[in-house]
Amino acid sequence: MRAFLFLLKYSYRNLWRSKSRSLILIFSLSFGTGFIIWDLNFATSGSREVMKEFLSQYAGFYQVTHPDYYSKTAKNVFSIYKTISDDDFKDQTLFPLSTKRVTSLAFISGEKKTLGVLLTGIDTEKEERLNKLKSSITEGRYLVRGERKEILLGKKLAMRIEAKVGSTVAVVGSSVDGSVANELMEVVGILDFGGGDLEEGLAFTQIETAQSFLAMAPERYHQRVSFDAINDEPPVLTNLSATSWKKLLPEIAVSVRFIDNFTWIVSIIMVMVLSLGLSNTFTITFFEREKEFKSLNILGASSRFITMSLFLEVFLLGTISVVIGIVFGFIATTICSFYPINIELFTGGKPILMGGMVIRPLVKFYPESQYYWQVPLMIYFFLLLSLVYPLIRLIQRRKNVA
Amino acid sequence: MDKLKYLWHFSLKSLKRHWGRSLFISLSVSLAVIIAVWVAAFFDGLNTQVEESVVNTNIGYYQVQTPSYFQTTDSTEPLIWTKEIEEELKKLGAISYSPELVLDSNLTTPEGSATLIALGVLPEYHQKMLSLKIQGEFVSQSDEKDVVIGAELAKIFKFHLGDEFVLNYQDQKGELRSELLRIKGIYQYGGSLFEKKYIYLHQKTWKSIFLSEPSQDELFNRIVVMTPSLKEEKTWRKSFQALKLRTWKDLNPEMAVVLDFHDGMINFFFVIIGVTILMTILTPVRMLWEERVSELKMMKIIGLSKKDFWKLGMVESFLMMSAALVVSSLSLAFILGIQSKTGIDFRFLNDGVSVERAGIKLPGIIFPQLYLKHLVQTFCFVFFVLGGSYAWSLYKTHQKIEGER
Amino acid sequence: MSLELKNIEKIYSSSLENTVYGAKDINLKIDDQDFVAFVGPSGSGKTTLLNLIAGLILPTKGEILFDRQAITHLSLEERTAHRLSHMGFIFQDYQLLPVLTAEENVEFPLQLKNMNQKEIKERVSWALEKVGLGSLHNRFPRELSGGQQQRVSIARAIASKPRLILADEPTANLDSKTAQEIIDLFKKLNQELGLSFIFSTHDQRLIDQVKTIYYIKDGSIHEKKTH
Repeated sequence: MRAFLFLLKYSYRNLWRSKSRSLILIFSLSFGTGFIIWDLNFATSGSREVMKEFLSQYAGFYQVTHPDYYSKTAKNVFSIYKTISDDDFKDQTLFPLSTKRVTSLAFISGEKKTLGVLLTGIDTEKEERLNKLKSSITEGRYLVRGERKEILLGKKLAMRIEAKVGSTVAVVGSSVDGSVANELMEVVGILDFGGGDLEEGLAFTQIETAQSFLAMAPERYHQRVSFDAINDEPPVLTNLSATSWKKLLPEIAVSVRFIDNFTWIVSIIMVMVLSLGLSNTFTITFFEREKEFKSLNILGASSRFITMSLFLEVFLLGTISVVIGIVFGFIATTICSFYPINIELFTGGKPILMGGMVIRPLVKFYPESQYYWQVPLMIYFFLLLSLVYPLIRLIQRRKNVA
Repeated sequence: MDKLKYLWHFSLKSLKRHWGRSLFISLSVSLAVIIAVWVAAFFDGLNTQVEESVVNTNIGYYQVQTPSYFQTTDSTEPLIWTKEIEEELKKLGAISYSPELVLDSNLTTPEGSATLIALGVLPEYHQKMLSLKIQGEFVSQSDEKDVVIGAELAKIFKFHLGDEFVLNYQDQKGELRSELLRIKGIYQYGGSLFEKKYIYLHQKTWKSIFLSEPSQDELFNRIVVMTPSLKEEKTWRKSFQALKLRTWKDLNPEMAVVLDFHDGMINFFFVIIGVTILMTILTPVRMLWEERVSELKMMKIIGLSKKDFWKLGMVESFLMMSAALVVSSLSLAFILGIQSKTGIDFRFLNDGVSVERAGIKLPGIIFPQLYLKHLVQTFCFVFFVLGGSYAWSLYKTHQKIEGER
Repeated sequence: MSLELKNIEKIYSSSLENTVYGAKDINLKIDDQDFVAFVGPSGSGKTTLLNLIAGLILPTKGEILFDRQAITHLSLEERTAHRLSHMGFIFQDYQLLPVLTAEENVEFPLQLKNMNQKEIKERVSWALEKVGLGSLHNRFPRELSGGQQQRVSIARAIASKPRLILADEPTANLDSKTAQEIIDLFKKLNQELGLSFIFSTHDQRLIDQVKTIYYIKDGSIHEKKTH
């Protein structure tokens, strides 16, 4: 133990032989550590925030439907005949943060054009409370509760069928009893999703209007959409199906996963590059002290002692750097949790579209504790790797001399 | 000149003295550069393929549109397809082009409903632009009420060759009409969303079902144009003032932003790697010079001027940079040369499945592309890192020689 | 303590035209309290002999016996341990560890031997007192003069109470006054502690003080003189 403490003292003092060199090394490693912690938090928070923002606009975190509502084989295909009601839920704890919807493919006709849309009947008051649909209305007004035959159109859709606030449009579809559903509805509001494709494909009406349009009983609906951001994983239900947004919007899930993976790859590359430079520095430092090592050997220090002292020196360097890096990373992440970052920086200021709508690009950080040990572990690993070449060279040279 | 030659030899000897170390520094920089530029090449390949995926789904690099179609995708006022327009397109460098008439329509059957875009095309143009795999036949001048549909649509509605279905739409006057069409061909192309949405009619058929009055002229609402890239966008925009121009980025802004985002990520990545490698190479390069302080002091006493000292350093740094450049460039050419042919399977990011986004099927296998700009990036990187570290080290060493520290 | 070199030969390189000998036909014996010098021009083989005795290199032929035990058969690590236990070293350029104080430099071999802290402290004080540097124990080598550094080096060499001290040109970097002081110190230690000393030196003052002189030329013992 005493010998080890002496060794530690010797190694620590060796670390500060060349102050400027050691400071540069510590600075580079700390910067690397801190940056990687920040970057990983950025990617995770970014993904989470962007998804939360996107999903809370309209799509929701998960949907509870009839088990046969969505086709098992064809994407985006659903059956309007598979309806549910509140009585189907054994546990209604998810009700406060979820809302009912009736959905159907329909055709909307304006003066010159008939276009297919996804007509969604919404619980107007609940939707107003739970999501940001109402705030997307840039012309006209939001829907008023009741069977009032009002409709909200996406901006692009309205432009294409040449409808505006106050226009009357014909809505045609199939009802659940197999008959043709048709209705004249008044356009009361225009939704602006920032120019994305969703504006072309969405129309909203009151749930009561939709139920009447589709000849559905008032207690029946198609989806219960959850906006619970905290409990965002779909529950396991025996008689109903709960589908996560990740399954409903797989392309978005892939983009998120891609960014996460890319960030880890950047981090590993950064640490690899750092360890290359460190390897260089260690090699030169060890060669500089070769004469001293020889003296130590003459005095009776074994190769093990000398190697241990070098390991300890590097370990101390790593530890000091990692600790400072963690502090850097923590401070930077904390600052970003108060002052969000605008990810439009990556697109040169252009708005970011996802899933057919523009997303709010401000990313607030939510620090993840696991990065505070995963990143240091990675740093230590590469630090160890960076020692391999210098030690091999040193041992080779010593063998040649012997 | 003799002096420069001498300095050259001297620098070479200095590097040879610690050839292992010099090589190692050079290799470290090369490796960092290879990684950085490879990632850039990967993303450029990805972006190129994403762009190709988008433009090849009947969007084209450019679309020349009629004013009414440009405003509201209104098909009621098509214009005449003329030789002048065709010449203009050729002059601007169009590889292929397809004048198209566009009809928003739908079909409703007991199997369900579907929104369709019925394209009225001239096969002699369209087939040059888009190569569809067809079961049956593509549209032709002899068609009466024949249509070619996508395989996905056929699958959902259980259609086969020879079947008929009713197409619903509003005609030029705005009246609701229905037309019985016979399935002449079933195509496969571009992913399920594309095949579900687009159906093809010969322009003659299209005109007959939509226009109030017959027209012998070849018409268009839009002309889908394929070019090598969007490089000449400014020229194209200048050329089309009366007719309106849209690029694929205007038409599919979500994918355009994806490319911008990738570019942003790469620039960010380059900066980070550049700063990192600079910080880590700075110390070893400086050490290479620091250990020579006493001999440089001696040389100064003998008569080495400040200018000569810097020349010595710059020659040495040039040699190191050359070594790093050669290694990086050759390695990149080799690695990317192979991977640009074999590709990298990207689907591990999505549990082995290809993805559709914004209506486009994204490539599952990415082919990184080695462009001249990557070699320029390599050069700039090496110059910045090695040149910068050398300059700083020389400055600091010179200070020591002069006894300023 | 007895040290015997029997028929020692060390070849550095051999070709048809030329064989380079570091040592050739070396036979000598060093006993307790011997005060011996290897003298010869540069490149004569003095340092080779010292390295052979220290076990840093192995002879091509012959045997080296320390207390009748052959060290030539020991492994590298065993020879290192042997050095630590039985020998002390003094270098021309002192070879003090710059990051340790005088006291810590002296303590160094004792730490390698894993001695207990109390004994280390006692030995270090004793050694520094013996060389007259008791008051400078907290200074770093850069804060000491050449002579003081050499004294620290001597203290380090004697602290582990070795049987034999090997000194390679110990006075070469010292001025004449300091060199004489150091030589007097060597003599004092040789007499008081019964340590055997082997010097490799050109310093005539030191040569005049030793009991036995081996004149080395081209790797061989050219002449032996006893005072």
